[in-house]
Amino acid sequence: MSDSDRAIENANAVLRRVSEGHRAQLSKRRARRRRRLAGTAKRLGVVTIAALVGLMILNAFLPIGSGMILLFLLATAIAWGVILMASVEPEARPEELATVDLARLPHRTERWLDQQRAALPAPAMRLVDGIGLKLDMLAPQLATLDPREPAAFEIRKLIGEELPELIDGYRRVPAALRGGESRLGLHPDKQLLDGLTVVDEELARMTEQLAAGDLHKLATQGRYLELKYRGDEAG
Amino acid sequence: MAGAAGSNDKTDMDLVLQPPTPVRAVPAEKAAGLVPLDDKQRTQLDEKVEGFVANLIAADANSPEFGKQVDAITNMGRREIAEAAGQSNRFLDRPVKAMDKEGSVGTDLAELRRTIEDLDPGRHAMAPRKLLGILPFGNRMKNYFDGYKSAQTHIAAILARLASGKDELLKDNAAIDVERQTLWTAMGRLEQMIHISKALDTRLETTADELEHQDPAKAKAIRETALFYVRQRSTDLLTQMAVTVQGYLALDLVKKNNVELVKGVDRASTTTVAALRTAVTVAQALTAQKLVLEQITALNTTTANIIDSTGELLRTQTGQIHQQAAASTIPLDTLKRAFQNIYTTMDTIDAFKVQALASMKQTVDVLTDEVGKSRGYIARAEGAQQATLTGSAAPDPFRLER
Repeated sequence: MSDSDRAIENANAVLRRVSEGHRAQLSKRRARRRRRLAGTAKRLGVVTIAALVGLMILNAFLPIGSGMILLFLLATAIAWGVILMASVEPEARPEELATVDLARLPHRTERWLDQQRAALPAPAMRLVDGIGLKLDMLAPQLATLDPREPAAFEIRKLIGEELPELIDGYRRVPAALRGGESRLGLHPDKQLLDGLTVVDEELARMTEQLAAGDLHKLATQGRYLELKYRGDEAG
Repeated sequence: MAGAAGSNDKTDMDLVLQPPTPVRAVPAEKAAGLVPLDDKQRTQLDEKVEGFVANLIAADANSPEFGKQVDAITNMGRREIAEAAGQSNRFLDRPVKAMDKEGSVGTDLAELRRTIEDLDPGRHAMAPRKLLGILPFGNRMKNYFDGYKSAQTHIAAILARLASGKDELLKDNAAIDVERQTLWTAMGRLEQMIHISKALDTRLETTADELEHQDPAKAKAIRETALFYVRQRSTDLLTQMAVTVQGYLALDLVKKNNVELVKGVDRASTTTVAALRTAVTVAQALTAQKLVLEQITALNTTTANIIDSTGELLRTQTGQIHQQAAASTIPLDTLKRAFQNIYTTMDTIDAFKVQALASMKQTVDVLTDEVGKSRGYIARAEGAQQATLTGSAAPDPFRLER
């Protein structure tokens, strides 16, 4: 790698760190982790208290011996183990994304993208951050969308299948071959970037298209009020 | 016979419902140029064309790079066409729906007419009734005015339905306004693409002529691929433009139709309420009987609030009717006049509807035809899209800024 390349790479890294998308992504990731930890802690507390209460109730009928204490500790330990195991976030798999229901799909894809992030080249990360933000915006819209509509089908195809396929395809290319031009004249890095750009644009377009109905409705209602109470001259 | 009836006559004269003329098919050649482009846009678009042609000439005629550029042409304006076409379904829907809506307003008007006809003083004998033609028996006049009491709830209900029907028509017009606005934008974008394709056509033609001697192979390639596709796309764009323009005009027709119908409904409500109020006054003058039409009084206030002109009309009329009923020896004629006004209004509406329906049908037929034609082109455009999705994602050189 030449000096100028390295300089560009460094500059890109700085840009990445300060880019708005990345910061938003980071803070969201942190919030998610916090939420998960808080949830786990709560569950652990509940289980411990339940075990203690059980011990006390038992105590009313039977005298507590050391065996009983041991049993109590054992039961609590097993419960903790189960909860901790369950709280580990499973790695989202692309095959799953195709079957997740529509309302949860943007979040799942986003999380999956997050996990892929490290394997992608620097410029792609910025695009992925942008896609993540768009997915975030899309989520509330999808929550109210009928999954049988063609638009829903289109979105599922894009973020549930086509996007994961693109990134998976890139990851399957050996790392050494990704940067440069292969003997066949193909540029994996560039193709990934082009593909992500298309996905990014399409997402923006779909978000707009989904909102079109509501935009129309709002504009129509405004115009109707004008027509009814102010007559045709207004507006 | 000045006063109320006179003024009613006068207002009746202004109720002219103009049926809109049907929209004819817009020929594709004439479709371009309806939405004006400014000079800045023109230069920007021309620059795009120049850049593209320069790239095309720079590439070897057999290279994949050249093929990619040609692909860009087949893809040119795809999004603009798809957007405009997506709206064509809706504007085809509108006139059809409008005809239905007209139907529901029409039913209410017909029902109003039937109810009013029952009350028409012209159909009732007003002379004192006599048993066996000799003995005075009952009071026909009183019976007649009692008819209003039983009919008032019904009339009020019909009038309320007409008011909400009118709201529907207004809502329809609001939606049409919004749709026309978005269609105008879509047409502007189509216009820009048409400008590009025309500029590209002339530019490629001259380039091919220039290259004829230096590089005949490239000149041939340009003619047979690039220029061919440009012309194909020009036809597609112009066809879509024609359909969109036609839809734009058809929407205007539906809107005008609705406006006229709203006028008619307004007038029918006003004349009906006026007639009922006249009846109240006349009843007092003729039978010294206080006819209380609560439903109608309640309606008066709401109608007057909604329709300004009605309020104005009713205010001036009430005074006049009172004066006249007190002074005139023939108050029954006033009432007959008031009923005649309702009939005239409804006849006007009926005549209007027959004509409007005809031109609406004609418009829908022509539009359906044209939309059908453009669908073929859209299918081709979709095919081109599929092709590019499977290929690599090259940035679109003809992309319009928003």
